[in-house]
Amino acid sequence: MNTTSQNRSVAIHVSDLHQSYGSFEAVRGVSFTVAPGELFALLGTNGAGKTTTIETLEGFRRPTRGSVRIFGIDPFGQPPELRPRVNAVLQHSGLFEELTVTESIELARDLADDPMDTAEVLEAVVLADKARNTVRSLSGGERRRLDLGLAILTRPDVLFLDEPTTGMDPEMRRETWKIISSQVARGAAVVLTTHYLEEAERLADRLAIMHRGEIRVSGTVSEVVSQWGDRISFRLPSHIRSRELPELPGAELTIDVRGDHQWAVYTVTTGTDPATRTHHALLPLLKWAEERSLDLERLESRPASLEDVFLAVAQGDVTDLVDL
Amino acid sequence: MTTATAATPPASDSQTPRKPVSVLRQALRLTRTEFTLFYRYQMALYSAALPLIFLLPLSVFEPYDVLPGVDTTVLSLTWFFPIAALTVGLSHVPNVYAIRRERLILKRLRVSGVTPAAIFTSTVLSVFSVVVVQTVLVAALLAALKEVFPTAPVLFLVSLALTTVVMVLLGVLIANFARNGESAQIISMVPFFLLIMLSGLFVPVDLLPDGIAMTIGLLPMLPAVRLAQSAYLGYDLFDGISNAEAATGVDLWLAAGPSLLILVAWMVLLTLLLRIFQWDPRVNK
Ligand SMILES: Nc1ncnc2c1ncn2[C@@H]1O[C@H](COP(=O)(O)OP(=O)(O)OP(=O)(O)O)[C@@H](O)[C@H]1O
Ligand SMILES: [Mg+2]
Repeated sequence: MNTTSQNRSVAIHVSDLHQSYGSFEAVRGVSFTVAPGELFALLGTNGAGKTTTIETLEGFRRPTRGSVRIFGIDPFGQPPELRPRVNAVLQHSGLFEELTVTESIELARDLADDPMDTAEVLEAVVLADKARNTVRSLSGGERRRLDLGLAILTRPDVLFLDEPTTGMDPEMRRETWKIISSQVARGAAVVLTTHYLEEAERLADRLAIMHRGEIRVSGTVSEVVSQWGDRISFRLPSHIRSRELPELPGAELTIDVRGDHQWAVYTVTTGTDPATRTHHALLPLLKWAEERSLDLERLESRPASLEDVFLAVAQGDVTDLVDL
Repeated sequence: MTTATAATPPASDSQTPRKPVSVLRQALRLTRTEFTLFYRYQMALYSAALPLIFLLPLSVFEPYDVLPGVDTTVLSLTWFFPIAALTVGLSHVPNVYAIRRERLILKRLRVSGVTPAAIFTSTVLSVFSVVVVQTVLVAALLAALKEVFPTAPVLFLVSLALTTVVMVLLGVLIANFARNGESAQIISMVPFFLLIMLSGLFVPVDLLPDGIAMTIGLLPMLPAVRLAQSAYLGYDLFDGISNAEAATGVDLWLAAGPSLLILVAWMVLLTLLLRIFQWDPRVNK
């Protein structure tokens, strides 16, 4: 890929980013790109380095190693070419407590070039009935919405959203997803961090899961999940011991204890075709059960969820970096 | 190392051309907000009124003449002008910056495209407004009690403005080394008292050995006080009261030159140092 075409299709470029606090390395070799009109979700455990990565992209830190670029420009120190094109919702909001909602929006509007109308912003973030209240009096979720309103009103080409829906009720979270989607549809490159996996599943074009400063898994939601494997599980009949269970093609067996029962869990990861691999694993299992006249209780087969992958990453199971 | 490559570029990646908003426009807009906040936080009003306590001792002492037409009361009142800038600059500014950084207000402003220059300028403008109000009050007092009026108003205002800029920048720099509002206030005490002690009223600089007197003269406060007093009273006070001579017009400006230069040098130095200002409270803390 030559530089020109790269610049045209890449808004955010992070390459082998390292970031240290003294001797502690908070980010250890993170790389990803985000295109205009694309939402990239950065997931991960607490302290994984998500906010640190975003702060570097926002231009508040110089990488200790590696590089970050926004539209081909180094964002450190917020250079004038980037300043009007970038905005963010910080993990914690920093607002003037004594201003009203309207005053806060008007201040942000006057500080920007060609902003959205005040009424438009109030409506978008559903704060019209709080317009005259001071920021101090807002609830946690309302503050979050005001913060998002201030970030989108400059119509940024690059938008960083660090846990934008934390503290919101489920309905408001869905409203917020619509706002975020509309920013992506408008052509903004969005980096989102969240601890709500459903949010990432709904919004992310691609995602990465970080743990201890590294990206452990990345790709589209379906790539991440399908590479993780489908699950076949059933309650282990009481007279069957685990070593009597059959081997299934492409599947790995684990025994789970839930309550008073043991469960057999097969994870189907390899198979010629991801679409039919579970079918090919199930057949011999059912045949095995029929030969022994067993009824497999609570037999279930489902694809892995993002949560399965996240938990595996969090427990440190994913030590080999998975590249898709 | 893991790489996640970009998906295909979307149909519309034409970015809207955007002009950065001018520093002056942002600065003026922030100054306006500063006034709103000043009004809503009583603390800020208190800190604006604080310098006036330096006028209290005046009523206690019996005044005597130090120069023709200038008694100790007049001298103290003219001393007060730059002290107002020092007090607001070093008590209010470090506190506000440390608090706003800690609460991520500064970071929020920076990430939404506001320049450091606009933020610093808005502080200078709002502090200068407060200093001007106090100046008008004290000038009215001087006129009413002593019938003393400013001799060189332009030089007076220029030096007051320069003093304000230097004090505000110093205040911001102090905030850079403080973790929070409280520590900012404690840290700023040291330069505040140092500068006030060495501002010419308490320590008789004329009587100190040359080397020490010269060093004190290179700090911003003594030049600031001498500029304000000379411009207001129409004397060349730059070599101390004992060597004072009446001066006006070009002569006064020429005599003021070195002191003005010292303040400009401080302004340049502090502006350069402020490039290290950390907007994110987590960085290096
Ligand atoms: N100034 C600092 N000094 C020392 N360590 C720091 C500093 N700032 C951050 N860290 C550490 O760096 C690591 C990454 O922090 P970061 O805020 O990037 O995590 P995160 O992924 O955003 O976590 P969360 O999901 O909890 O917000 C954490 O372990 C944190 O304790
Ligand atoms: Mg974080």
